[in-house]
Amino acid sequence: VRRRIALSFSEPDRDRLVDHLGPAGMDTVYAEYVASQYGRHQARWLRLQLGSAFVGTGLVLSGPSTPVFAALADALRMGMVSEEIVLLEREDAERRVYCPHCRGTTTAASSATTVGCPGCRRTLEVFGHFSRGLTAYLGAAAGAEEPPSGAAVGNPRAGRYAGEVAA
Amino acid sequence: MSVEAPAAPAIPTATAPCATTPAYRRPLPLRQGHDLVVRSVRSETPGVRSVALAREDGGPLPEYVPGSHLLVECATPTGTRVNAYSLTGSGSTPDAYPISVLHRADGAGGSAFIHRLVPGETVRASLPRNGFAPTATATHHLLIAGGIGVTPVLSHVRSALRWGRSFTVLYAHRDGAAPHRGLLRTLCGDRLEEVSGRDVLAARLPSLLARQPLGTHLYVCGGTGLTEAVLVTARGLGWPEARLHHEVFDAQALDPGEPFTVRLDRSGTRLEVPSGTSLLDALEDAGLTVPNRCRQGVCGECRIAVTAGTPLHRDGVLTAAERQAKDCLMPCVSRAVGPALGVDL
Repeated sequence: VRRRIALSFSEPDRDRLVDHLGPAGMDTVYAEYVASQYGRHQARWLRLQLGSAFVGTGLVLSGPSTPVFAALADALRMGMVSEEIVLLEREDAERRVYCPHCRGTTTAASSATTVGCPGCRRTLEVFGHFSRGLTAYLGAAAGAEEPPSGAAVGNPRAGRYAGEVAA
Repeated sequence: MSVEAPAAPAIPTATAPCATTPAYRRPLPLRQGHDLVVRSVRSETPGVRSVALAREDGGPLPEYVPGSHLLVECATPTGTRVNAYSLTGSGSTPDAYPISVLHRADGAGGSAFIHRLVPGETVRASLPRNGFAPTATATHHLLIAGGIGVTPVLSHVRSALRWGRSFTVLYAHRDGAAPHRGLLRTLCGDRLEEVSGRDVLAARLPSLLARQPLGTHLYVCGGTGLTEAVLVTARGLGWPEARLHHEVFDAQALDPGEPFTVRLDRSGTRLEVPSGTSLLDALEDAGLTVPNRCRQGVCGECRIAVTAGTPLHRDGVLTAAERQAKDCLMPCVSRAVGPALGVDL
């Protein structure tokens, strides 16, 4: 790696970044954003830097895992390969959860084991599966695997479909 | 685009007709071969002949990824050999498989066999195989060809034009020995750069490889010297391995190597591998069967697991990480560092 592009998201993140770079900081293009998200401005800056860079350039991302992985996904889309990228991510207070039922993504506290999906109003159980492409954890309807409690109704949705067909 | 689904050619399950010389130890039959008919032959430059192989009924052939090659059974004075030849077409809806072969006077007879082919003759070939495909996530493709190494690059160029991929070509050749030059000039226009001679190439490489947009993947096909020069320059400029793709066609004449002892873990026996005999030959002499194809460290078919000792890797298949791991080797070319090696056989 001849040159580096680096992005950090807070002051402690910058300090870790500087420690990591050491003397390599001399040939590093660097931006610091005090933000909890990988948003419009950061994305514009990163894409501009990557778009004008040559092969032989590395990328260092320092920050909470949510924005770091969002920036990573962007860099991979721009044609970077994982060998060129160093992640200095830390635990994030919140994480993104993907709902495969309505394909919406919601942000929830990292400690939460279930989250309400605002898209389809289901209660989602959060799994450990992380998608680099979506930069989100997988959610799935909570309790879907439990046997039905009421004898009358098997699948709670079955009745609704039956009703629709009848109507 | 509507692509007609090509019917698969009839692939006989019977073993290939390889009983040419029963005395020959390893006839190397193609496990999944099918018969193709020579449709046309053409001389490109002195010593390079293009051959188009088609189905007997002229019907469609299976499509292939650019950079693919065919394994062709070649009748040589020492028996049947299986050689790999790069396809030069785009791979979309082929009705023939085009190959271009450089005649090697010092070769084992495979290229001479191809050069003797006349239209109407039948040859036995594999389905297209690929170890040199374009990377889908690349934003730009830099193709470097040396001499007859132009064949897979031509395939990449045709496919890139068809599908609108961004590419540039650097074609290194000696004047008078530049097969497909006219065709490449027509196809590439100003995306083609030609350099003549080794020194000119060596002078051009650093400036070329230092200024490739991030997202570029490099593909190099040529002789060992050119391929090494390109890869070494690229690595020196910080190119990661994931961006480097290479295919070597001329197996460098390997030195006979030091003798060593190989221990076969499963049977507990020990075999001596003298200087000048490959590990694969020694294993076969002892009655073991190791699946193999090219026997020159290119295809990776004969890979075996190493349980003890340090392999001396001389193949072109393993990545740097796999070499570091010291847990496998290609017995057709690789040997041992030191007096002994243990293998899982």
